[in-house]
Amino acid sequence: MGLVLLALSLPAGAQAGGTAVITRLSNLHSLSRWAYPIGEAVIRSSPTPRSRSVGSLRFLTVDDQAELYLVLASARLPSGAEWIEIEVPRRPNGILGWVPRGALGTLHTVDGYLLVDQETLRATLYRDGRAIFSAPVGVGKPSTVTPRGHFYVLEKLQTLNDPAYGPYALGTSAYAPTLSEWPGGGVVGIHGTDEPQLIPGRPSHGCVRMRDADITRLWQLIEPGTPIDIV
Amino acid sequence: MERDLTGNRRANGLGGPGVRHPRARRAIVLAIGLLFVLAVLAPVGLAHEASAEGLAAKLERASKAAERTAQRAEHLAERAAERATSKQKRAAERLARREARHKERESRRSANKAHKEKEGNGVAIDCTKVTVTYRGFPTVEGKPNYVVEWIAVKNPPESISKEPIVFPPLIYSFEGSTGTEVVHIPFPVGHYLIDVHAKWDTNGHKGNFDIHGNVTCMPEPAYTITKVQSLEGSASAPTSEPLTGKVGQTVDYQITVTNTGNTPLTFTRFTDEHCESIEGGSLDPIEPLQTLSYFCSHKLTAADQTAGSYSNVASVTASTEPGEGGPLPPKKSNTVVVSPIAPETPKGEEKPGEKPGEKPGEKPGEKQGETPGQKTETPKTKTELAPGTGVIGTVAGKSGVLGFTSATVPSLKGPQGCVRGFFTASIRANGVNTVVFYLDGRRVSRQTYKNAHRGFLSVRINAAKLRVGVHHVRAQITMKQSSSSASAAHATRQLTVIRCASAVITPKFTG
Repeated sequence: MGLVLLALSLPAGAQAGGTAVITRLSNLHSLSRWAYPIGEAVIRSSPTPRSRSVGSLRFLTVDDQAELYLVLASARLPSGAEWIEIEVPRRPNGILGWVPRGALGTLHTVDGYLLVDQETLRATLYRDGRAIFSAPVGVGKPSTVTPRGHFYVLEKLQTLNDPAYGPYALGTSAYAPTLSEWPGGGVVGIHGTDEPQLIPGRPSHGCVRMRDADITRLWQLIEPGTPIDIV
Repeated sequence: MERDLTGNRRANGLGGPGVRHPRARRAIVLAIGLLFVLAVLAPVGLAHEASAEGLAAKLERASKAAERTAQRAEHLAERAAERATSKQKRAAERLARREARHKERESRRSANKAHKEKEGNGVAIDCTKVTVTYRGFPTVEGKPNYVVEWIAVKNPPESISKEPIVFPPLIYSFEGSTGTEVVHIPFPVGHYLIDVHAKWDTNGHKGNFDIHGNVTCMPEPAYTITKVQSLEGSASAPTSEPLTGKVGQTVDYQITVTNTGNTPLTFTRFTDEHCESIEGGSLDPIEPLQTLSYFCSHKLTAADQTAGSYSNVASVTASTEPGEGGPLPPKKSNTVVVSPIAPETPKGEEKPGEKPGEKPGEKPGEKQGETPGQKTETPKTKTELAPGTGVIGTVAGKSGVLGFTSATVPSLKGPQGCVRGFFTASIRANGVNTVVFYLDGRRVSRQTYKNAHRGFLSVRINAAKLRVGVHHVRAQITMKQSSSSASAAHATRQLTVIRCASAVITPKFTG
């Protein structure tokens, strides 16, 4: 199952005399886990209540959908308390943090991941180690690049009143590095387009654009919480 | 004025340091005054009295009077000094006596302490049990010692009870001078002050103790799984011992899972590879001390007989509530074995040597389904404790096992993620007396255990009428009273519900 057990020595003073047992819960390719928040909690830099805060759990995305968190690992402390490591979907990209297990609901599993390659300008969905979907994409212009890194699918939307987004859209945990003033903070989405002639290419403000038929197919195949690798 | 060591006042002026009595000081003052008056009046007298003799006589009288007065004053001063000295002496003696008494008390106390440590009674508390040890009791042949004990949790969490929880009294008996009782109490997570009070008047030995202790409990999930078997039609109690059964006969298995930790556990992935028709179990969380049973069976076959024996083992996986200790590794039960033998000969073909009523393969006096030496008994329903933990009964409630009410307060279940229409929030009704549901602080429903439907008390809410955002459903739960002496437990459970906007929108992506 790709789960790894290891012992983590906590920072001095963080926990009295302890080693935490860390269990890796997602490998971000063949098995990943995610959960909805069910309680308010501060996200910490390490699995102790005294460690630095890196924010707090949010319940809603910028599009007023349920926020979900990709779960990376769990840490069981000598005291018996359990903490969960999560990816934090906010600016700057790549923030990780720990929350008490009780702050998150049921752990859902998801198989596979989406690879967005900015060199080949293709997006490929892998499941069970096989590519089950692949399509050309449009990515960010040099002035408004699409961020590289590990992200995940936050929400699945049907678009309304704006042909620029096509029929369907996927919200991701990625934020455009340059467009921080954009409404909603500059969330990077994967969506359709009304300018299919620009795909493949680099026409966007940071989002990943697809032809409408492709995004329709991907929208049907992909699940919330699916990891996204943008390279 | 100053005070001397004994606390008496001491004059700094007249009388000097040796003259402390006021009457002595007054006499000295009087004598000096008289002498002064005579000395002043003498020349006047000479002027008026012509007779020198008369004057001399007067002077002599005055002098004698002054002398007497001085002597008296001196005498008084001496007596006062004597009194003061004796008072000081008495005070010092009192002090010495007091110190001696204190020393004696201290030594007696430390001797008692040492004696108690060596010979006395003791209480040990951990998060799943309270162990009470009795020592120094009389040993009377055939007459066990009896003690009555009460266990109280003095500071239960306010959400559970605002008053101390007093468990029903237990009667414990033991033979010999020493006895150890184990009372199983699964303390939920928290810090507890425990009071153990015991009283006895047994075999001429009378006494009591009141011992206080405390314990800090973290989540300690634990469970046991045991498997027993019985042969179809056998009157014997199910056993974990090997049995002998005939080909074609059905072996019934019962697997009992007991939550022995201090947090609710949910049991999943029950497997029993060599067992058919699995029934029982539950996906609901099982509270501490509660058990869950699975049943299955297997019909013995000729292949089993050829193999020589038929054995199997069950396994189950337990998981805790979120934040209470994480998943537990799967655990296997004990292995049970049946030795299959040839099927029963048809009736009327009784073999020589077999008595009527005895079945083939059975030794005389041994019934089918029994292991050698095993006698038929009625099934034991009492919780069996480890050897040396002989609890004989309680005045009220189960013997040696006390439920802690807070552990039984159920959690509030509801939807996770987006809600846009109707949703249900519910709690398990087991042990609940009443529950009041609130939505964002507004009371929406009150239900009693009589309203339970399929074991749940629930409220249905239309999220379409709520604004987009985060909402809170709260259940204020009152549990049923665990005993007449204990107060009912109260608890609050909260659920966060996310009312989402429609998923058909214009996204706020960078595009």
